[in-house]
Parts: sequence; structure tokens; C-alpha cells
Amino acid sequence: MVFQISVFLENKPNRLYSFTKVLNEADINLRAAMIAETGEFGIVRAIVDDPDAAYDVLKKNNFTVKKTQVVGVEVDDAPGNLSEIARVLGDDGINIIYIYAFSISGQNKAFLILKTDNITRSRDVLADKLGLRIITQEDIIKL
Amino acid sequence: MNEKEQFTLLKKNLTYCYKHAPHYKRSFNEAGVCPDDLKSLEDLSKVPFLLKKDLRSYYPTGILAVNKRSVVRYHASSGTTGRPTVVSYTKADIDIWADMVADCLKIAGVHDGDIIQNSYGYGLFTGGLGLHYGAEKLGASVVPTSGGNTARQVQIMKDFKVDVLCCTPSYALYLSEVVEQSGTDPKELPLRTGIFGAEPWSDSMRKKIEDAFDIKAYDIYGMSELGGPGAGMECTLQNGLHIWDDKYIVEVIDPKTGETLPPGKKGELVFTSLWKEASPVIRFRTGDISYMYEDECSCKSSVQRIGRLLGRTDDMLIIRGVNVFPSQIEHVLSNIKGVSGHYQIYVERKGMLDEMEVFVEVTEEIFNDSMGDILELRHAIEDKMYAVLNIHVKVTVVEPSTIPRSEGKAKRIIDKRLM
Repeated sequence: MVFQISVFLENKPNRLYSFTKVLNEADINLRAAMIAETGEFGIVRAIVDDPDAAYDVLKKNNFTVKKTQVVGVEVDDAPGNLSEIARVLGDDGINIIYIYAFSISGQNKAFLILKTDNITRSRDVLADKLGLRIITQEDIIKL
Repeated sequence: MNEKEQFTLLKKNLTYCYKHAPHYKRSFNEAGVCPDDLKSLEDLSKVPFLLKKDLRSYYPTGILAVNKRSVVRYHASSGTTGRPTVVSYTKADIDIWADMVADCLKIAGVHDGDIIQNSYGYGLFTGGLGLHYGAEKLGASVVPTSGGNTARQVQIMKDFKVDVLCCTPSYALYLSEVVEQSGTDPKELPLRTGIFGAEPWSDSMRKKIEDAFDIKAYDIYGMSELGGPGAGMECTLQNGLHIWDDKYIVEVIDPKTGETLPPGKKGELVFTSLWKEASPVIRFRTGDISYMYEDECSCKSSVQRIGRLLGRTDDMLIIRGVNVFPSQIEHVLSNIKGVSGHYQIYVERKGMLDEMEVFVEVTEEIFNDSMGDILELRHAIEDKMYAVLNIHVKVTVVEPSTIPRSEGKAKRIIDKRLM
């Protein structure tokens, strides 16, 4: 299981910087991040090496922050893999809310982060039906 | 009307209220005054004030001095906590009110045969029906367009060759823009006169409207508690608003001490009605700030005359003619989970229409990584605001602790409108 840090940010100059600055000063390493936005605000979702520390330091700095569980899987960096994942989850009636991915340098592998409406079930389906390796926080730290 | 005649009317009215409206009997008794104690107009200052909150406590019938069965109509204005202030009218009230509005139109140069487009909202708000009955009484032809549907308003103004336009001043300016966009120079329209009110407007705004349409624009004053529009009206000299001597006694008081102020001194307007049968008001504190004129206008329409409104004693906002109290917004927010109690109201005039935006702080309680939940929260607040205020409010969700907390009284309202 992987923990993700989500932060509510107003959509205006310097807000992303204020977020990254806090992490930087606490010596927390960002492994991956994505931003979803509407006109006025956005949500930054990030995978970091130490989510507990990140949560604490962001909270201390008055950010609206949540630590949420997501599914992380390791896939070969090859065509068709995401398609397969989407298919098996869909066949199982699981709704994907969002996905983001990052590749691992020199390994021809990618880590896929998934948020679905049923995290535990998604993990089981992906492991059982596609034989994918479920990544853990340890994998993130080792990157 | 001279002072003696006015005093006679006042006394008759006070006696009527004391006898028929339980509220006044109680408040007079508590203050230790009885109508017979009054020996001159000055003695009116011994009579207790009537506050908006008093009126609100009489929801839903309003302060009643008649049997409910004699009421032929109800109007209401927005209250401070979502509970409206109700005003009731007898048949006689409706008739006198119509006469009063007809007189208002007359001193602004409106006459029978004029085509009047009435773009005040028809409904609980007194503006629409008030102007409507007055204009009919005058013998004018009313086009009851009510508010909204601006394209149709413009079409009607052109096709019906409208002489007189009644609406809020900001809407008048907006209409002039839409007329222009439609390819017609607003100056070319037959429109001659504007009767504008229900929100404060400055002399510079008046000039803008007058120039845009090449018309004369007159200020009409009123509020539902006083019976509606027509309590005050500018004559063609545009030099203060006439208050009908036989309909009201107007005083200006120091809002802090309650003491009566002399002419020329700014203070809160206090009205006593002399004509209202169903919902009479005695020393009603309007919350509006203005002053009395000392000299008499050469038109002789009335002795009493007040200056154009200068502001409010409370934090009431008037948005598109609708009264909005910040406490109403606070009330809505306090019943919604997921936002902090801090908020800020931002008002501006976009394309001549008032727009209100409310900034609220999201809390961790609601934030759970989902975009949809926050958007839903925003919609829920907007819907609730509409249900309470009857105007569309834009809600913007901001980060916690970003709305300024100030020492003492928080700066809740930023009003960028140029009145």
C-alpha cells in the first residue's frame, strides 16, 4: 500500500511554490505529483518518501492536507499495460477516479498510482488477474 | 400642510395605534407615554422607536392594527436571518398608497397618457406592484415587464415607444448598454423620464444615466416597512426628496443616542406613518442615513424634504434592489458542514449589474482528496444562498486561514461598486 499526500490549493501564483517550499525545507523528497484543477482551486497529489512527515509539516504550516491510501502497481513500460488495468478493473465494477504514473530510470518499469472507489478490491484484482506487483511505501523510499 | 394640521393627524394616528395594535399599547405603556400626553409635534420624541427586529417578531402577519380579514394584500422584505418582514395592507391602504405613488410620478413630470415601463420586480417586493398601481391611478399606460429578460425589455422599450422607465438605477444603466449593443443609440429612444430607486445611487451615476438616454432621472425613496416606494420623491427641480406631509412625519436622529437632530445634520431617518391602517409604523428606525432640508422647495409639494441617501447605519447591502444582510450569509454558512465560520463578501458592478461573491474557507472536515466533494459543497452553498436571499451569489472556496482576521470587527464586506 502506498500513501499519497493531497493538498487543497487556491489557483493563484506562488501557491504551488509555498507547498513545495515546505516539503523542501523539511527535506522531504517528491517522487511524483499531479495537479487537478478547476478555475479557482486545485488539488495537488503527491507521492513522497515520507508521507507522515510530509503530512505533519504541511499541517503545521496551515495547509489543508489529507493522507490517503492509493494503489501502486509496478508495470512494464510497454504499450497496452494501462489498457489491461483499466479493463480488468472495469470488468470487476470498479470505478477509476484518477491515475498517474512515473517511470523508473534505467529499469524500463513504471509505477502506476491509482485512486479507485474500492482500493482494497482493486489491489486484489490487479494482483490476482494480472499478476502485477503491488508496490509498498518501501519501494517508494528505495527510489 | 401646516404643523398644526400634521399634529392633529399624528394624534389621531397615535390614538388609533394605541387602541388597535397590541404592540403599540405595550411599547407606549412600557415607555410611560399615552397619546394624550402629546401637546405638540416635538413631543413625538417621547414616543418609543419601532425597530426592524420588532417588526420581524410579528412574522407572518406583520404588526397588525386591523382584523386579519380586512387585509387585502401582503408584501415582505428580506429579514436579517432569513425570516422576512411582513407588511399588510387594507383596501384603503392600497388606495392611498396608489394615490401617493401617483403624486410622486406627477411631481416628476409624469402624466396621464404616458407609457410607463415598470421593470421593478412584481411579487413580494413592493417595488413592482407599488409603481404599477400608482401609474394606473395617474392614468398612465403601464407595461408591466417586471425584472429580468433584458433583451425583451429593450425590445418593448423600442416598440412601445416608452416615455417613462421605472427600475433600479443600476438596471437602467445596464439597459442603456444593451440598447446600444442592439445597434440603437439610447438617446434616440422616445424615453423622457426615469423613476429610479430601491438602491442608493450617486449624482455621478445619475449623470451617467441621464447622458446615456438623454432623459431626466429622478430618485424615488421607500421601503416595504413604510408601505413601499413613494415615501419620498424628487420633483423636477432635483433638489432633495419630498416626503408627503400628510402621509409621514420624518425625523432625523443620532443613531447612537436616539436624540432628534436639527435640519442639515446627518443622521438616521425615522418615519411615522399617518395613513397606514393595517401596518402603521410609529417612529420606525429605517437604518438609512440622510438629513432634513430647512428651506421649502419652490415647487411646494411638501414642507418636509430629505437629502438623497448617504448610507446605512447597519451593514445592510443592497444588491440589485434586494436587501442583503451579512448575517443572512453567516446564517447559511453556519448550517453547512465543511466551511469555517470565516467569510468575506465581495461586491462589484459588472456591466452595470451588481455581483456578489462570497469567499469561504474549506476545512479539513470536508477535504478528502476529492474534487467533486468540494464542487458539490460550493453548489450546495450557492443553492442555499439563493433560497434565502433570492439572488445568485458566486461562492469561491479558498484555503483555510486566508480570509483576513482582523482585530475586533472583521472586515466582512468589500464593496467595490461606484455608487
